[in-house]
Amino acid sequence: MGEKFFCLLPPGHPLEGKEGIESFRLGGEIPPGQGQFMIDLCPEKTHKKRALFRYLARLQWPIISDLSLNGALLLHREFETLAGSFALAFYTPTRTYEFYAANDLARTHMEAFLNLCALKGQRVSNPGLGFHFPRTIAMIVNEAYFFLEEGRVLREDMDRAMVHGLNYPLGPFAWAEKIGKRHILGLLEELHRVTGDIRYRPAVLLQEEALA
Amino acid sequence: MGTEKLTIERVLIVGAGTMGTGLARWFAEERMEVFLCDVDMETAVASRERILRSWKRLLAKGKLGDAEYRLRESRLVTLDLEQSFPGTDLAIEAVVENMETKRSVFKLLEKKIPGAILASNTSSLSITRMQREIEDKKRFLGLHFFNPPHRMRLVEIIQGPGTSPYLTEALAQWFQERGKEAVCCGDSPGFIVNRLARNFYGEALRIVGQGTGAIREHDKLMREVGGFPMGPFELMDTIGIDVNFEVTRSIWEQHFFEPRFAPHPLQRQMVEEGKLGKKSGEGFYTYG
Repeated sequence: MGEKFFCLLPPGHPLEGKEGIESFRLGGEIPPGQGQFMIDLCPEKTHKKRALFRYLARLQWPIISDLSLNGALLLHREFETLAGSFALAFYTPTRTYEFYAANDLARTHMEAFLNLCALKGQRVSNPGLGFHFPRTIAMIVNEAYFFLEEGRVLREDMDRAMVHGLNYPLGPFAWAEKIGKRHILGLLEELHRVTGDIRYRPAVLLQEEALA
Repeated sequence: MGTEKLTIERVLIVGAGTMGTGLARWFAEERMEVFLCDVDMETAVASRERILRSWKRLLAKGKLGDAEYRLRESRLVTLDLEQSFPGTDLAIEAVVENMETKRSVFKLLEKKIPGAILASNTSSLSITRMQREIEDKKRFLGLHFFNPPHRMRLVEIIQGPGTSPYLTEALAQWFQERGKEAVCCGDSPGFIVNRLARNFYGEALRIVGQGTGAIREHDKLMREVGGFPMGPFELMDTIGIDVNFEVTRSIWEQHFFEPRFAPHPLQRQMVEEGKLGKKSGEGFYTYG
């Protein structure tokens, strides 16, 4: 019998009902922890993550969380019970995802979980603010939206230009569709909030489309 | 200029450096008659020789027929800028990235080949500014190819404020029919690729600069997670850290110091230390 994973899932998540997964819902009843990790796969804003982590800490769950939209480094500093984090909400064409593990126990558990999901992991030395790939791609997509706002270029031409000019696996708009504009907007807003740097302010058109 | 199909049979390439050589090669391979010229005739002749050597290698490998080789050879001609370029349909300048030099080239071309399409292969200068002194503005535009142009499929077609939209459309179709990926945009600093790619480098520099990642680690993640062919630091070393820094600074300045395009202090530091990448033996990595 394989390892069991306790997961907090958003509604309709593909892992729901999968063998080896015991799933819980945000806002639903969660039993006290028994030493295993609770894997939180709900991409949420940082204030909601904080509330969740406080709640899980009271129930004595060590936590592994999808922090694609958050300043993961800051949350790791704030919550001792946070043992690991992923950036699973940002689609990658390689099926490889960044993860940070604060200790070997968390690393082993995260690698086994990724394996169950038929995904590969790349451990990072520091999750930073928005990991490496999500932060980079969010900024490339944001710039494409700023350019689109100027009305001098078509989306399709920007996508084709980046694929054929620089051999990117996807153009910025194709990437935005795969990742989800809400996630891109969420990460940009967090980077803007945490750093205070206006280079991260989201394009208005991106905000409109993400919130439509 | 209407919607009629574009006919391009004779192409003039001004500037026989790396880009000019690649452009002359591609147009000749597409069976155009190509006039290749440079202020220095020896440079143009050397450029033609390089192209012929490449084709001879293909000939030796059996990848190019003898008749095709001779046809291409006969169609690739070097000329002095002072000579005439009879029947030129399209002229592309690929001279140094200097506004005054480019403007003087176009001034000469307007006199010598009235009616021809005039294009600049600039990657960073304003097409709008260049177009200002062109008399027949509707026939002027930017054609930004990528290095090496005979292999890279993308061509950015940059429409200046006076450029005929029919010309832009017809040229896009003409290139598409010949295997290029033609994309169009209005004149804007960095056009599409150089503008959108700024953050590929900019975020990498900030992640490393903030101490939340290491250079080798970031490159690896961009390749193995993002699926990019190279990491940003590897790419900056290949392009030249000085070149990349200058492109970033130019785009930033042309956008009135918009923070999204701001260079990073680490770039300037590397340039000041003479760590320019592969060409200097050291950049973000060490070579040789």
